[in-house]
Amino acid sequence: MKIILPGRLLQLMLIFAVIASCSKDGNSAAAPDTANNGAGGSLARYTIVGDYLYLVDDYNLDVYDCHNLANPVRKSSQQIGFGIETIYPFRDKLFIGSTNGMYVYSLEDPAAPRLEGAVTHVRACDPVVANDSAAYVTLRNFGTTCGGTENVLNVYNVKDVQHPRLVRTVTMKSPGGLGIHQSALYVCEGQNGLTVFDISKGYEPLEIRTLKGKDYQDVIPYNGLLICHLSDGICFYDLSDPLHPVEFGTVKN
Amino acid sequence: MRLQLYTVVILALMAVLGSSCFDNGWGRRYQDKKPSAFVPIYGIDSSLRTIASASPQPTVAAGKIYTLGNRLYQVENSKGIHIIDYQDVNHPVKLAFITIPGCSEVTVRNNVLLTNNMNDLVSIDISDVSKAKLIARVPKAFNRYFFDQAVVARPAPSNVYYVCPDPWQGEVVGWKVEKNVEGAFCKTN
Repeated sequence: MKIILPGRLLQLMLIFAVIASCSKDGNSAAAPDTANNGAGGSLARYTIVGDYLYLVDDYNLDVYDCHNLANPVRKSSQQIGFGIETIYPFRDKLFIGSTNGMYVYSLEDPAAPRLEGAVTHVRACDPVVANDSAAYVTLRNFGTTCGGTENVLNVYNVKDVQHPRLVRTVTMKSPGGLGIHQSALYVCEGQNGLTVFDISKGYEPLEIRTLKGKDYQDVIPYNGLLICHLSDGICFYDLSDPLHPVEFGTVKN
Repeated sequence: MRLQLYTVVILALMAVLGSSCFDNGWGRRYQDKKPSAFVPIYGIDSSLRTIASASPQPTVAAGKIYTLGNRLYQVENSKGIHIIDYQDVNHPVKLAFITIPGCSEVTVRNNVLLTNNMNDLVSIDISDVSKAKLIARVPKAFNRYFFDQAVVARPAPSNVYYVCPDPWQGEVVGWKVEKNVEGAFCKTN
């Protein structure tokens, strides 16, 4: 089947249309309350921080005030690029993955996120997770339509968030969704398994082991558990020792 | 005055150059008419805007996940959301399935699912998982939906040309056959 999307044309045009966001610094400096919230996977396009829902479509970051869940109110919408794919909250920041880079937004004003820093990389699919000092991004060309050329885990130094810096690239088979728990980084590689890295030396991830036998898509580390999104369901691991996940139950059909 | 005249001349030149560009480039493509081709019908299918609880369903096309407390929520791609209790993590139990056509995202807050029903943002009260209740709908809040749909939506017959769905025009609710169709660049297998 041949496809020439009109949308593809628009995408190309949008590359050149750099829209400057003009969100003002608000007075509200309250730290997002994440205690009451759950957690999503790294492939999510929707995320909740405090009373706000953040969602990304291909071009925009939209913010909804959800104080009243029966009446979500859109507070802001800003164009951030093209090929936007994922959104990941960490403390007072949002890490946004696109097919050509990573964006970091400040939630100092939760109703109007402000761009703090960005890096570009080769065109590929790229979920991102982060801690205080590092952001981990996977790029892959395996089984996707993202036009990627590499299969790697990229490590960025984000201590100076305005200037994220690529500090390490680890070649992998088919990296996708990923998650962090304490000193462990989990990277899903579909049928190639779930690879566990020791990131106690933040910028030098050390490969510890790869769990096999399932089709791993994404993970959520949550309350000492590793919850895995498989292509045919979910499964749970105990993270008492973060580097040695132990399998619990599986839910399929 | 002289400046204005100059501007008019420049504009005229640009118009001439511009139109010749179109004639030589994209214009010709769009003049490429197919004698007969399928054309998408855009609209809103209200039957795909109905949300309801159902008994637990098998997982076929497992999608994104979200967790809160001892509950896990997993998207069944484009169909809805599985609600799974994992209080006993060795024996997780499916509690219910919430039917949400065109669903791909999932988040939860205070017993309310925030997700997408096609391209709408919806709030669904699941205090009682067997009686899911739509409490808010924000139409067209998630047009991302149609980028996926634009690739998938196609007429049923094989080996026919059709106008590629335009994600900006919204939902494809059907197809019609027209004659002398411009821009029918897509073809079914």
